[in-house]
Amino acid sequence: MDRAETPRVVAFDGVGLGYPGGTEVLHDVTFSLDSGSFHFLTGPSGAGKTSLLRLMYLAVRPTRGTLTLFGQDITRTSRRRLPDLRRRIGVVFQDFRLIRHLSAFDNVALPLRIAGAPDADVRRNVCELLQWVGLEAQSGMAPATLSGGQQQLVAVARAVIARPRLLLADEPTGNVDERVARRLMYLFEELNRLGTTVLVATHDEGLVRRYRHPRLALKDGALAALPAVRTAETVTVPPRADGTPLRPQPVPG
Amino acid sequence: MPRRPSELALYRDPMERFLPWLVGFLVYIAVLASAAVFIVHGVTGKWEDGLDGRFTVQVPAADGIPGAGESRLQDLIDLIEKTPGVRRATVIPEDAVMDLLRPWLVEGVAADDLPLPRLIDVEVADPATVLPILSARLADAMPEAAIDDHGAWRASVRRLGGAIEVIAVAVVIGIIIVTAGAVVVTTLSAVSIHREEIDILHTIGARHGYVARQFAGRAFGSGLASGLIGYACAAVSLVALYHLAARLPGETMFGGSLPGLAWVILSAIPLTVAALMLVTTVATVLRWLARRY
Ligand SMILES: Nc1ncnc2c1ncn2[C@@H]1O[C@H](COP(=O)(O)OP(=O)(O)OP(=O)(O)O)[C@@H](O)[C@H]1O
Ligand SMILES: [Mg+2]
Repeated sequence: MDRAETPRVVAFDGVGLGYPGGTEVLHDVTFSLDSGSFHFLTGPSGAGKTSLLRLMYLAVRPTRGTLTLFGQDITRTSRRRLPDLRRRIGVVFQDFRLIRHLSAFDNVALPLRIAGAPDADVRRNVCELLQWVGLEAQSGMAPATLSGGQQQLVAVARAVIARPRLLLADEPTGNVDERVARRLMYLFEELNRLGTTVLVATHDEGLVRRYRHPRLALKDGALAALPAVRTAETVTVPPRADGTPLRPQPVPG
Repeated sequence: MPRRPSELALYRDPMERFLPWLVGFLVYIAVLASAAVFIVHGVTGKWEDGLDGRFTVQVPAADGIPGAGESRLQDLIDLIEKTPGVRRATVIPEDAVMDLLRPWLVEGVAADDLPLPRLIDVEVADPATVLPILSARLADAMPEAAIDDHGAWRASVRRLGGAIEVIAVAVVIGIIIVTAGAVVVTTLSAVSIHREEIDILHTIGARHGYVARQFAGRAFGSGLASGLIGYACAAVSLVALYHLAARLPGETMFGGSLPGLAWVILSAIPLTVAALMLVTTVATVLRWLARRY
């Protein structure tokens, strides 16, 4: 079965999450993300945004309820199948999580190398994307020698390089100026137009208002308002199987 | 194009830096211990070959009648030489017997003063068939003559050789266990140092094999490098020992050098150790990953 045709990329059904030895941080979360949709995830600090994303990128498993990703019930999926699912998901971590001793280039190259892409392709795609986010001059620099904003750009580039089916971005614009934030949002929307389902967790109300995508509002570990169902108005283009990244056009203007 | 970097900076771990020294040293010891087995095998084999088909007939001194003793001895030699299968029988001169005994004698004692037995050196083609016939004939002709086929001496040589081999094998087994243990400890320390990077690789969709491979290549490479250095040092030591032994007078433990085949077998040690490190590392990483994820 071709997963690209699965209408629901993510489906939470009565999901609860408790960390070992702690109280439950997410309660009875039920929602779904259609293929090709774009949502914001908002909520005060400690509401559980990162925890919700961690469930989706398979870092933790629900302690209650069912979570379905790409049509597969992940509580029943064997562990051997999980790497394949993870490769369809791009994640921008709130704390970047770049590998310290690797250059910006090698950090961005990671997903392609893990997927076994040939070196020449890796080089071409990574250079192109670094250039696009304006980091070609920093390509050989270690994360510690980059500014916070530059590190965030590297983290975003790494999340999108393999053209994921699902993009989860945790505060992706938290450390960059207005202009770069707009550039990143353009990148996400471009990816979304090509078929990627996008979920952006953010505190930035301005961002949510400006882009008018439906929002999932978390409060104290529960969804405060159900999102309006929104189908993608653009044609869904499944990503190419060889993992080639998108080639975004420069921002007009 | 720049070389693809290691995603885990393994060379920075203190344990990773220490391990090659330990492995090099252990390979050195393992090669020497195995070489000892070959040497002991060669030496005891040579001794046994030298004794094979030879034995001594001891004739007690005839009381007070020197002439009678000599003719008795000649009769005995005739008897022995006529036995089928005997190649040669010679009387060991009294002086030679004296020489053998001299270290245990007080200065100035002459052969005539002692009731020395006469010794006949006998060489036969096939001891297994000749020996019983000869013993029977000797028992008839001269019951007091005794045959010494050096059985006790051979048995002790064999026991000594066996003991050395057992010790060498124990040393090699010990080295395998210590190496595997050191590799497990080093690998566990490495994975816990790199927990964060492994976590990132894992989240991006790396399979366990991908992570394990990063450790495997290094383990095999550094194992092989330090193993070959240990092997080279052991070879230099052995050659040096031969040269020193060659200067000793007479036959020594080190007589002769290791056969070429032995060197080939010994060179398998560093390869085996590198393979052992590879397998142990991969197994340790996979086990750790399976528990964690
Ligand atoms: N690894 C963990 N172990 C135990 N509790 C955790 C862990 N991670 C998060 N929590 C708890 O879960 C709750 C939600 O945290 P989470 O990081 O999901 O919030 P958030 O909405 O992302 O906050 P912020 O906006 O500050 O990033 C918090 O109360 C936190 O203490
Ligand atoms: Mg968070």
